[in-house]
Amino acid sequence: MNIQALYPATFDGTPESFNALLRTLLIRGTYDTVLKKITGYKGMYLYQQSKECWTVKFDNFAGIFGILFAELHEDVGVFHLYYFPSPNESMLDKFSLAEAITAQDEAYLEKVREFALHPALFRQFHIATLRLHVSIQNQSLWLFYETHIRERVYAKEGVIDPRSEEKSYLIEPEGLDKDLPSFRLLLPLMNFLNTAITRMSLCTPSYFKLFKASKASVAYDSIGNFSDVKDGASAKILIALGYGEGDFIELTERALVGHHAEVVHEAMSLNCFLQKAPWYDISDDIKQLSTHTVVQNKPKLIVVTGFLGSGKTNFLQNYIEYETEKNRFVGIIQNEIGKTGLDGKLLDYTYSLVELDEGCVCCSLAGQLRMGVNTLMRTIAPDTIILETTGVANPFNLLAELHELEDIVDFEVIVTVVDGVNALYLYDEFRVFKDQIRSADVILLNKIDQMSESQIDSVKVMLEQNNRCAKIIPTVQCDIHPNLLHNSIVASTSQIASLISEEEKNPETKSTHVQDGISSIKIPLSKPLNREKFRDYLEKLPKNIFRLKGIIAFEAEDNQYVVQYVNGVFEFVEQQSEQCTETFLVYIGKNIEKSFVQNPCSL
Amino acid sequence: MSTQTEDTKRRDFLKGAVTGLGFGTLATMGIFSYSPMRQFFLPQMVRKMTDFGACKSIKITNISETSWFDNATLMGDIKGAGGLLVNQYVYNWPPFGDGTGLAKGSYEKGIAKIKHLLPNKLDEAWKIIEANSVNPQNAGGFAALIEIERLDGVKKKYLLDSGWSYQWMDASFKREGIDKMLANGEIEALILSHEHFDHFFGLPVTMKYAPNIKIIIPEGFYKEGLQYIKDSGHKGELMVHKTGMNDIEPGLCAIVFDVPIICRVFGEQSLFANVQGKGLVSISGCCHQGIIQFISTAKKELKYDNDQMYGMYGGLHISPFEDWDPKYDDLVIGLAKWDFKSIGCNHCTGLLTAQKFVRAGYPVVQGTARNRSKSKVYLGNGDTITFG
Repeated sequence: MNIQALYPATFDGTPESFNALLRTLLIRGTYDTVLKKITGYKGMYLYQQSKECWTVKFDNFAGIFGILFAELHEDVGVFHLYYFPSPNESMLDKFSLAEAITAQDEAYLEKVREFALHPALFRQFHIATLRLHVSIQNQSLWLFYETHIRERVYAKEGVIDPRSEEKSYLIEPEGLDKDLPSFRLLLPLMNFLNTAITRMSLCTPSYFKLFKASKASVAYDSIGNFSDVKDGASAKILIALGYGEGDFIELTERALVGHHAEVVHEAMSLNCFLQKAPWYDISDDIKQLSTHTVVQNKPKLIVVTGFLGSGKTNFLQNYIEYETEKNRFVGIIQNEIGKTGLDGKLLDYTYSLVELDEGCVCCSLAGQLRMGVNTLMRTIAPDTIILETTGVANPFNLLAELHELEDIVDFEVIVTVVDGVNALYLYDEFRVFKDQIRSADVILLNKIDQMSESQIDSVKVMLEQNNRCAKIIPTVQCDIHPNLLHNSIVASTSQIASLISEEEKNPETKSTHVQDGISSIKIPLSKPLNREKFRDYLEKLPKNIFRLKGIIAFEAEDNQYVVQYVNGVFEFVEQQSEQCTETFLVYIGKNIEKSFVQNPCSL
Repeated sequence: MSTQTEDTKRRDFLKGAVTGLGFGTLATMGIFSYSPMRQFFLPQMVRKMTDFGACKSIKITNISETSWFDNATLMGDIKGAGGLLVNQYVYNWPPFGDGTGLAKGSYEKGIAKIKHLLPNKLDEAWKIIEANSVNPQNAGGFAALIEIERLDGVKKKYLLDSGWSYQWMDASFKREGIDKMLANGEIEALILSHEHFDHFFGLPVTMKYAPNIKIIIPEGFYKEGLQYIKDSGHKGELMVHKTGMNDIEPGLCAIVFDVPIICRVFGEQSLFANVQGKGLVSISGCCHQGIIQFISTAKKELKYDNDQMYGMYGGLHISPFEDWDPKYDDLVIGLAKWDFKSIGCNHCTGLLTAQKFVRAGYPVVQGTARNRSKSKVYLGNGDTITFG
């Protein structure tokens, strides 16, 4: 392999070189959209003031991963890898009580960004160690990950709740204080680092060995003496990986000294799984690995609605500048002729803009949108497309049609910008304003700088009454970080891998932390529904459907209704008579498939 | 007792737990933290505070900050070619167009069409370039003139970067009189901040007037870039700055950041001047390493008057890698603690960012929005800023 492909400056084996090599990998990873997509990498934060450390984030993990260079041991660079759980996630319960208390610190998340300064952070929360060896002479690279399948600590005499008058245990005697699935937490980070190396060097590992080693768990007594406890579940996993032609066997043997390690045979499921990883499996089209390949990722689609003067243009400008800073591109579709939302003089960038013909919005929006998306993809292939609606179309109609575009865009979110100052007036006057609020996933309550506290509160109450599931974010000039709009949850292969491994070792443990894919399906309704039967149907909807939206008609009634269903609560909102469209329902939920959803027409 | 209730108890306890408890307090409760890392400590990095002298003042003339004129066009090129990691020499961007279209070019095929015309017949070369390149009219360039006044009153000039389009840069050089300064040997050296097209591809324009000028580059240039310096007609000294701090002259130094940059570029050097009695002035091309990183490295490495970050000029990438933490992305807050006295920003800073600086009360020196610069919040083409 070519080490220069990973680090073009001089690698001289000093701690600074090791730091620079890994830092470079993390930074270049942020430019690689394919890598980000296949590894779930969200980017890194570089802390490099009095000490250096990096924090990174991955899809599906609420917490933050940390990496720091610990020491140079002989000629091997040793990095410590960390996971700092979010103070709210259930993973926190798997960390020790001391760690969980550390995470309650108000400034915890701020400190995490500079965790190299805080011993309470870098001495705890450790999930794995990475050893790195670089040979310039051989042009080879060796990585060695050391982690626990589960890292367990027992409280021999238990921990008593200090608030309790009677003796109440927080941890029962001989109970588990810490039961961390370290390997599961390491997986996304390892997957990313290995895949980044593979992609950047266009070279797959020439050496791969997996070991497990039994490891005693630890118990502490009431005065803090630590002792070993035999525990089948707390084995270590050691993963050695070599790129190029190097002395990998010797390096690995050196690293295994002191471990009673045995090779995990290639036929084992964990081994098989890892060998299908994107960094290992070369049977997948090698072109996929090449950075020269034109990647036609589906763009994200964000729909922005909002009444005239609410601040949609401000929203667009801010969004574009944030994204441009991150080297991502935005395309805009507007559905009204002649409205220049983006003034080239006002904004740094003249943006690719596609305008849709207003007259056709209601009848053939999907077709129009498809054309607009295709035009943008041909010209600038944006990462995100923002559809700016003007409130002419009923947002619910739009929602229905958007699902017809699933093959070309990933529908992300409906953002409704609300002019806070005029919200209560507009609410009384305009039907369309209400529909915009009701259809939103995120509501930006804008212009709060021009509102009193009590005004803000009363508008919030109105918004909440009309849309119980939207996230309401107060803004000034719509200045909002794009990430606050995103709320997607997808199952990842790394989690599946960890489940395989944990269950193999630990059949009695069932993980309760699987995040299943959330998806939606649209079902067209061929006829009016029976009101009572439909109510009954909604009341008995399975729990995995947590949201339902749509347009319905009831037997013997002229007007159509918008139905909104959120976690067991639902409402029907009568539509004006002229708004007659096709009827449909959109189901949003966990693991839903068409075959499981009963069409209410068949009731 | 099931783990479920134990978890609930834990949660409940944590909610009421007094935060910031030391490990000593926890120990009295019978809670201990076992970690294999519990003995681990990190050595404190020391501030090197290298003394690199001082100067009386520093004046910067923005020759051009408009690297390209239409962002959507550039975006389209980058996306169409395959993304942010594609090698900048394969785009078929000017001047290396070979007529085969986007992403099908190479340095060798491109330079072959114009090499015989460099550096003196740039108008003729540009005609060929226009015929063979992708979006030649979108190219502009970044370049700035730095005039440093030494403590003894002697003034010295340096050129930072040489832009992109031959046509645009030659016109910009003439507008600011750079052509004559180069021809008269008034400029000590051409300092290239990094290998990017918009800072580097216009090199022959400088070579046309001063082929013997010293060129200073950061380490990390690729072989095409090194060859282009030769092919542009450079006959003078080529100096390569290593990662870290490099002296230029008393009161002026460069720090090379070994940062990977989009379009397959590696390494960027920023300049720092210590203005006597005022403090440190930083001058950056794009600041791809990120502004916070840039400032904190300077703090760590350099000694400067009053320990004061005094001024800042150039394109300011704020936090280019991070993409996940909305709460802490507030560059305005991040910059406030450094208490800058004078900021001139442009190029890749972002107009809304610059406007935010102004709203936050930062001392942003406004420009005149002439010569195709877009807004007065940018220190635009032809504008100047003086520190000290």
